[in-house]
Amino acid sequence: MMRAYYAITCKAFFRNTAYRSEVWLRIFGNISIVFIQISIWRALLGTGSLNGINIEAMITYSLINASVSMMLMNKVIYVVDDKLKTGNIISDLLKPISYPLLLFYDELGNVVFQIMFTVVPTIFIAWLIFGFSFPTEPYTIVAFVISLLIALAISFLLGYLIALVSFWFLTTFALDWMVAALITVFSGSFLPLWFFSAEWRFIADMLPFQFLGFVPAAIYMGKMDASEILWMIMKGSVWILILWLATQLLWSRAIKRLVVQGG
Amino acid sequence: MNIRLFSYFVTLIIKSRMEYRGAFIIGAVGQITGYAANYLVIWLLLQNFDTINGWSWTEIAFLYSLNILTYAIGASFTYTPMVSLDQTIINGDFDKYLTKPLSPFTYYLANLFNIGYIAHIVISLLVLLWSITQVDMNWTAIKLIYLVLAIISGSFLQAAGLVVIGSLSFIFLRVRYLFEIFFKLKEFIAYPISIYGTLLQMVLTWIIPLAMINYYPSIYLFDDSVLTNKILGVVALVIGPLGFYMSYKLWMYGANKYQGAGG
Repeated sequence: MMRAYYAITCKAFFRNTAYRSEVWLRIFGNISIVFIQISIWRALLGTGSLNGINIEAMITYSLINASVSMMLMNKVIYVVDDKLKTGNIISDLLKPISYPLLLFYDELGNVVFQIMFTVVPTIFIAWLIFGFSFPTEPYTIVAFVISLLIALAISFLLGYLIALVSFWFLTTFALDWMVAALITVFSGSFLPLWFFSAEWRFIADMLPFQFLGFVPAAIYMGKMDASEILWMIMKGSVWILILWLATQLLWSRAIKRLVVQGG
Repeated sequence: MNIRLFSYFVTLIIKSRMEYRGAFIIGAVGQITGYAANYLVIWLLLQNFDTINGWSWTEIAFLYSLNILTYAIGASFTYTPMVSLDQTIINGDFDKYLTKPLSPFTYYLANLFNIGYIAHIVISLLVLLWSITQVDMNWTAIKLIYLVLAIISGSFLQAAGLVVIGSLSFIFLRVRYLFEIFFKLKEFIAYPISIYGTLLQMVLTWIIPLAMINYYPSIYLFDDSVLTNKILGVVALVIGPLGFYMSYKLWMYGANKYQGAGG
């Protein structure tokens, strides 16, 4: 079974190599976004700091968030949407593999490609231009990798969940905009949750979006102690479980409704 | 093509979109949520730091809305036709625009007018009007006329950017990535350009004059003591129509050179 998943991931990886020219574009886009954010933080913080956060910290924070956002899988919604509209979903359903896992390993191939050809070059270039600090504690690196896996899982399940909801509403685009809006605010990818007021912080803590940006960055920067990290990993795992159960429920209902139009 | 015929096309497009009223409204709500999130993040940011380089929340809201509003107006006319031009050429569908007794440019634009930007216009106009009531800028009749002209000029300039890239489809056939770069560059003017270094400010003023869309008009309206900005404020009113005329010429040049994609 693992061999089949490995093959799916490899295939997705090599499919990406057909669009190599887009790699430069993504790197350029990432560097621009990081540059804009750093300019804003430089204007805001100058040489001082707020809540113990200075400009060097914000450079690392912006860069980590730009990188993590390249790895998120919530765009899986468009894959499902396209397969539903074209009817190609049938050939996937015929395969003796669980459909969500097929999708997940397919997306994983994209992510591996992104890491190798976008994230690593972006970090390298940004390190040359802006400077960038690396974690020193080995346990920080382990915790960071775990938080990345949680980010992958939550973003995948969110995208998959919206795709399933659009079985009923058939308005993928609008739903994706709404989730993207929630991610913009509550993932903390631009404005870290440190700078949220108490009530906004409370809302952010109740939602799963902080795992898609803020949590990995805060762990990477060593801004969370061991007990906080453990708490976050537990909370993230519970979110994965909740989202997974929700997708299972919707899937079993959606599959009964599925009528592929035309033959 | 006269204005009556153009508006007749637009009416037909609106009618056909309203066939699916539910989907249209859900889409509009999605887009408004998306932009509301962007405003919310900036608002949350400025709860901590009162100003970015001396720009308060209401001033940033004005600057930001001016960009979205002019983009939405310009893009209503040009986004869909220009982004789909490469595919239209490749599919060989462009010929039908050349064989009508109408200007291919206006006929092509009228045919692909996009009413979907109405949601962008609603939210940005509301925030713009709200920010005007909040910012103390000593309104005079001249300033009011200036604002209207600045919105028109900015819309033309945004449209010109899209038309220039669209024109390149005639030469390169595939230009999607150039649009992506254009949208990344536009991110730079979401904030006052004074947060960037001198070189980048010069580029955004003289080479890719995106700052003429919102930065210089805002400066002109907020602060009338600085003479150079006043000159650039007036330049901002001229550059839009001028840029659009030049982009139109470039497009027509490309359309005349057009030989079909073979096949």
